[in-house]
Amino acid sequence: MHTSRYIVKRIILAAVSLFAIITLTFFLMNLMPGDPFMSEKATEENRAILIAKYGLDQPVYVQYGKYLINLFQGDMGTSYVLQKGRAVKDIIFESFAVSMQLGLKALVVALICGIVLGCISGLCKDKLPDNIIRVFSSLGISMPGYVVASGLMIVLAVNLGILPVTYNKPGGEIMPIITLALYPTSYLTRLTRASILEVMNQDYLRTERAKGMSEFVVVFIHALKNSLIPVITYLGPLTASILTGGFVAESVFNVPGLGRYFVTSISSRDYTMIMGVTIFYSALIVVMNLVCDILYKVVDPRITLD
Amino acid sequence: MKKFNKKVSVAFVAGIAAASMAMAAYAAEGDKITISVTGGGEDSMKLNTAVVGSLNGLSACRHVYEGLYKLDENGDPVLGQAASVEVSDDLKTWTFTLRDDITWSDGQAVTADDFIFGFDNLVEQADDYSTLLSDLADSWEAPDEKTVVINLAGPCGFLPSILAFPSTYPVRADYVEEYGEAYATDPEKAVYNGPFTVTDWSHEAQVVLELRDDYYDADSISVGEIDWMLTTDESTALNSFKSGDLVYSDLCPDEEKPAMDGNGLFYTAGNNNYCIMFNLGENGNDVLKDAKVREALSLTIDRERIMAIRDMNDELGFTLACSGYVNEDGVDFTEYADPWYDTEDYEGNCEKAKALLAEAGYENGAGFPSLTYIVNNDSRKEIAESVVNDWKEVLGIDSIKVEKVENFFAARTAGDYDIAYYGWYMDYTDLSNMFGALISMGSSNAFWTSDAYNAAYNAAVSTADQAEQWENYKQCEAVLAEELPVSVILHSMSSYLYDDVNYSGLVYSCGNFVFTYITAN
Repeated sequence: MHTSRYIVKRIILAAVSLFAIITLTFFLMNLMPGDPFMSEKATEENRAILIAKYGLDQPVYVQYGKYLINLFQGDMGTSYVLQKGRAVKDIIFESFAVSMQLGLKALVVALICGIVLGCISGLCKDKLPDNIIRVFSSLGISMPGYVVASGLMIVLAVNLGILPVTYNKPGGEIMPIITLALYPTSYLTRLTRASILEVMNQDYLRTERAKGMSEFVVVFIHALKNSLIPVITYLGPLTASILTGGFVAESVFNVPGLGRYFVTSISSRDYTMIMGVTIFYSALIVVMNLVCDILYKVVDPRITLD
Repeated sequence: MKKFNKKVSVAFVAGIAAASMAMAAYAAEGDKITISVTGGGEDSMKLNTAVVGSLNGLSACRHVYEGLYKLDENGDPVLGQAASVEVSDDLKTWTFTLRDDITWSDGQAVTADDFIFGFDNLVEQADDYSTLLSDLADSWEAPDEKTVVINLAGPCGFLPSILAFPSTYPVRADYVEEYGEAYATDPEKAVYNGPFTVTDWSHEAQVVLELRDDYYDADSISVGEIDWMLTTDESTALNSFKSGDLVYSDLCPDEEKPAMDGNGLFYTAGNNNYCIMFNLGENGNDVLKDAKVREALSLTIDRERIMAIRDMNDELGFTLACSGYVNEDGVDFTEYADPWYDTEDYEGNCEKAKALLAEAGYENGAGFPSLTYIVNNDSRKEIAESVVNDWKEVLGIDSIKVEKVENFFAARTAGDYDIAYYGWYMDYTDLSNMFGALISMGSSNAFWTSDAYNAAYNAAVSTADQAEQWENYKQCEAVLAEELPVSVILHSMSSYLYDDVNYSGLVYSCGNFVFTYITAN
């Protein structure tokens, strides 16, 4: 199949997927008990006024139709609760800019460290460096983000006082980046190690060695390139999730990113925000997966995109 | 290589230390001080006085806006934007004359029309506090640019507290008309008449407030800048305080409070109550409609033990009202009103409870139906489990399960519960707020109404005579003690972290914090 035809087909499929996600999320959201205007101090009269003001008293299918019409015009509405009165689109783009900037740095750290450590571990199989790296990568995978973030904060900010607690101070990016990067670094390390071990036993590498190629060329030019296929598979969802930030890192270090909205918009029943972040995140995942599929072909031209 | 690493590390640490010292010096430079604070457990601040409902937003509004009254250094309402007030003989008409030197942050004079628009806008927005003034006042008008007249439905001694509350502050109509729903969601989308103006707002992270040079009282204020961190994470707030980044935080994890007591943690009157509410409506279990059962359950709660477990300086709950409200004779209202039960004899209360339960047909808990006790967070769940354990140990009831529910207020308002947490944090320091809240919450959440209670409450708020008020509030307490739509467990103290070594002048009243009067020691 032609690459361009494949991409068009994938874009159509992505649009259908997004439409399904929007529809499902909208109706499931409306099935949740409560509404955005439920609070301890709200009177029933005022609640009814606000529900009518935002059209939430209309049948759900009418609300859904109106939402879709507005969405196709680029209008995601305004936040009902979290940042009442602000356009959801503005909130998402503003906070995504912060998450993306932080996420990209974490992604670069994770990729470099993960691939390098994975290679070292694979090439030194069962030796001391391999054992040390495996222990650390196991720890990195098993430690919950909250423990990592809190541990870093207590040691580096409170006890040693060498880094600020919150993100908006000079040097405040370091701890959120480490927190965001630790898990993917560990995962990539293990993935690369396993992949390297598998590739190193392939016949074509033996042939290359027999041809007299240096071990450096064999490992870093030929073996590494092929062992990156599973890494690229993981890169799609990793990029999407790391770019949109993490709830834990953003909450603990007070990063004004998008990550926390995935939780707070639901708990506060901020309907327009729930829809906005869901659509945005889904679109990002779809795009990242598509980019990864295309990257396969760049890494290995033998792969056919169908 | 090792030597190089060591050198780099030393240089790195030294660099950061030097930068920190430079920043600290910067903060102390000049006549005015810069303070960093956080509060309210909220990361999305609202600075629109008509829709703000959280303590964090309300407190911030007290800094950037000002009403006819403001809170003074002791937390008491004093005239703010008003130069004088005249009250009619029947205490129903309040006529305010505005100061001559009050301006908005864009230089325009604050006029009486701005107050009238603020009052109207509050009602129109239909948010949490929309009826705060309209519940008391029949009308309001501005006969001229400098005069605001408020006509009350009845005498109201606590009107200054209401007019010092941010919801009743003035609003500029032209800004609301221009920005609509987006009004006051960014620094440039609002104009401010308080001591501070908003200069930077990083949503979900920080709001920066700067002292206005043209504020009429700017010379007497030492704080030049407030960096207001927006966070919900208690550990982050605590660690920021410990590291010296914050001067004030009212966020501190409960489990850390004992350790922080004496190390910057202060307890103050919480002006609240912590109760359980019984569902007396159609959806509630019939067993709870029997007053004997409710009394038995209430008497059995070992409040002293709960307070000991919490270890947070709570006050024993035996009246709906908390302590701290004292009459002219120096008597606290909680001593003036009759306690709901014998506070000295828990064993006797338990015996009485067993007898009451037996009379209701459930001796030793036999045949007691399954009930659900809902709460909205983990610390309240712990208390609920302790209460349920008391009921099991003393009354033999083991069919009540505790559930933490996500959409707690929705469930409680819909009556989807048998027993629920109920508590009220007062908005201003007047007992009317505590007793008034139970009228709306009691009728809408417990599905309970009492003509006797309503009559006593209405009589209390319709007089300016404290003795008469108190007698009526005492009557309210008596009705509650008999009918028990709620059972009071305790009155918790509010707590906050504050660097009182280097600073003084913090004002804390009913959960509202004012940093305007802070000075460096």
